[in-house]
Amino acid sequence: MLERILITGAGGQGVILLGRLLASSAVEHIPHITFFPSYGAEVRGGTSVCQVILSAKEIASPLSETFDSILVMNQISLENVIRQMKKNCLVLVNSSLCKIPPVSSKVVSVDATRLADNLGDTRVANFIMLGAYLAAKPVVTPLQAEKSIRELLAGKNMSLIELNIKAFRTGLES
Amino acid sequence: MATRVLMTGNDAIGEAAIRAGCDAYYGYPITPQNEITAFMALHMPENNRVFIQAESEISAINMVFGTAAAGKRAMTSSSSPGISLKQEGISFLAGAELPAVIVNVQRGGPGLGNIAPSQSDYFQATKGGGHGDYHQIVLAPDSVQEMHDLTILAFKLAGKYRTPVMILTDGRLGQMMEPLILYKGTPPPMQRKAWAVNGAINRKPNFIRSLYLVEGELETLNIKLQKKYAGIRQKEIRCEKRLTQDCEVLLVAYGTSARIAKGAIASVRAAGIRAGLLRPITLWPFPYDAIARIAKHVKGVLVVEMSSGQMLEDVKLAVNGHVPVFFEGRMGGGVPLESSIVKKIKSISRRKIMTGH
Repeated sequence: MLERILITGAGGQGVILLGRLLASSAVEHIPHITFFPSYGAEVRGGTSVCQVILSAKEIASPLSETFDSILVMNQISLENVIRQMKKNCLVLVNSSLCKIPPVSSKVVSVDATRLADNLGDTRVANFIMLGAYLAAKPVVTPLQAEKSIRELLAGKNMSLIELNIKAFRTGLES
Repeated sequence: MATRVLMTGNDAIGEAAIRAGCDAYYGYPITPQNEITAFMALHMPENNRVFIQAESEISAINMVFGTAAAGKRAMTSSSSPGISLKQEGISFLAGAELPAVIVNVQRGGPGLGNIAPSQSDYFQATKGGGHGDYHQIVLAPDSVQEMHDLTILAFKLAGKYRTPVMILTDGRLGQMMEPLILYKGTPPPMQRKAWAVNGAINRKPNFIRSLYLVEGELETLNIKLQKKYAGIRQKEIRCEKRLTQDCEVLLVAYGTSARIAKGAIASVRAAGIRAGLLRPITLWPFPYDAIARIAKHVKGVLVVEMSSGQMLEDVKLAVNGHVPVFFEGRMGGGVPLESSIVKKIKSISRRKIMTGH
């Protein structure tokens, strides 16, 4: 298998956490994994990008030029990556904050930010996106993802962990 | 199978240093190596070790000198401009024959450059960035697993040879996350350091220095150092060979560039072109002989680097004019593309070789 995922959104939307979580969910059963964040002189409110590659074979570069899936959290980021949305690519857009792009990719719209608001915290939109992505492409099982959420948030208060799990399940069923 | 964990390359270095028994870490912030300093700030005190954020890079390397002189294991890390500042200290460590581990998570240069990954500090690392006739051992990981494993090795080699050891990596390997298996062994045992300045109880005072003014003394030290370096050249050369048995095009690359070269080789092999890779793991000592042996049966050699061609010079020395040596590189934070490497391999493989000479 080879799954190259690009995740992008506004700084603060949890793009990096979403990528790290996806990568760590795969550690037990996918042989080769890379996670690469955009790092650098980023400013608050700027764009945040990361790439996750899951592969049966060795990964040469953690940065890909073509993607099997693209997850987009806001409109500015969407415009930055619209040219990457090729025919065989699955695109998930946070339709609360993005227009549906006119591309040849298969586009799944997820009302992530609104659903997150309904759960009481706009910040969990990222895990709603993760749930929706895994529903469309089950590269890891929901159980593995939930285990990773608990591990990643270990030490935080229980209600926060449960809220994130709930967000993930909401996305899975959306 | 042992449990794998997901970590950034920078964190994997920090974790390895602690597992290797690093007694003290001194650092000063600079991107893209900040995760090492942050990791050590959190975890060194937890393990009852010393962490100090120094007031400058120069201060940090001299704190390393002090710790090493007292017979303890010390490490510092930085990125290119910060490593330039440490060069005087590294020369002093070499002169005083003190063990130390220095990590360079390279970024684009010259000057303050940028924060993108680079391999343009090869000359500085391998040819003696400071003054004087010295070498440091230079290790070049190409995965997060190796960032970890080679840090363990760095402490072993530093202690064994009483010499500074540098881990020469780059921003991409530092920032990326990959699964790895953590070192489970115990820290290598600390031999009694009869030379350390750690309290002269029931013995004559020790004296650690790199200043030798009496005529002939400094030459004697240099002869001793060169003898030590000859031993390191004999015993410590490490490299990875991939598909070099039957190759007609030999690639030579290290670190991030080697990763991309591996991708290029897999893709041309699928098209029936026999390319292979020699990846130096030690950049000093350099695997001249291993390259020379393979170069005997290839049409050409291709060096891939994130620089204007620095390791290229060592590869040319190794090949010694036997076959042409080509170069594919990017500078200033650029990273070579797999597609451009593939193109170069293809053009080398089409070369006609004169036979019967």
